[in-house]
Amino acid sequence: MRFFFLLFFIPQLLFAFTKGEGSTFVMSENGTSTDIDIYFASSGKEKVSLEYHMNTPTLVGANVWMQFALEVSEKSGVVIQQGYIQANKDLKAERMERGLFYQNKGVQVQDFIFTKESELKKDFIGEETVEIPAGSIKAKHYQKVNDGQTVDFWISDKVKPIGLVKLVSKSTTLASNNYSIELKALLVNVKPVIDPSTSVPMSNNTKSFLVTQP
Amino acid sequence: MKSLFALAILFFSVGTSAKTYRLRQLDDMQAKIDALTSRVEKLESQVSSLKSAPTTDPSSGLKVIDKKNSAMGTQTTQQRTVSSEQQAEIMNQLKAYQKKREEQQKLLDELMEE
Repeated sequence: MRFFFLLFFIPQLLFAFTKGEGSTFVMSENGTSTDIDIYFASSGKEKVSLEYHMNTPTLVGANVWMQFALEVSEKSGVVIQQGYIQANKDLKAERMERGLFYQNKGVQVQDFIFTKESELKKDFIGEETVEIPAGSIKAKHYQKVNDGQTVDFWISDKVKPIGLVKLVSKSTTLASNNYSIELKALLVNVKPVIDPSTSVPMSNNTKSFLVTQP
Repeated sequence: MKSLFALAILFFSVGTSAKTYRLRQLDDMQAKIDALTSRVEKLESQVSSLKSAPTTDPSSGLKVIDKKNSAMGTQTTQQRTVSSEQQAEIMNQLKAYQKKREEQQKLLDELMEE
């Protein structure tokens, strides 16, 4: 379930956000496509929760939800406080251990968490019109390179609250880092599935499934 | 004797012709019912695809899906959204279907009696 780590870079709190708002994306990799939905499960002044939903056949289930509690502050930026995973709507969510948040090689999760627009300026390429399944939109093109992985991404402030329009990742060192993500539609009024208050510790079975194999 | 025979043939012909006419009526009705069934199925399929049909965001022109406070990936909890016009059309089609069925049944009963 490598895609969990690849998707976690998306939260960028440049924009205002509302509970239930988000985006649905299509992720293409090795000729296969997966729909991914990302939306705010809760919102507050300094704490927000993002929930991800993927509809794809996996070892833990056809539908997988993940939720991340983020703490936002001027001093430390965005910090991931807790993660949850649920593979069946009738089961309880399982709590993730911190070590599972940062497993991706190459461009890292934290490379995509921005609290200030100035942090993005150094990676700016130009403004381009992008054709995506959701339609056509003018977006800012950025590029990040790290450890053999090049990630081109397009952001628009009209795609609130997530902001991501398109992303293309290419890697010379890791085949699994070759993928693309495109916006399919904006989401509103989404009810979260994961209820952190009823979560249980993660089982060894789920843990073995989440840990990236070398 | 001849006239009696002619009369019998006449009654037989009239009876056969009436029966053929009713059978044709029955076939026509069946065709109409088939058309209505197909229409109802088409409407049902349109309704199910409408549950989260995208609209367009006026500011960006991009597609927007309103989940109406339902969760992603939990089909059973998703609400179906049907406009009042669509509801009325579906009801009309169902009523017409029911009426045709009743008429067909009546015809069949009459044919059976004959």
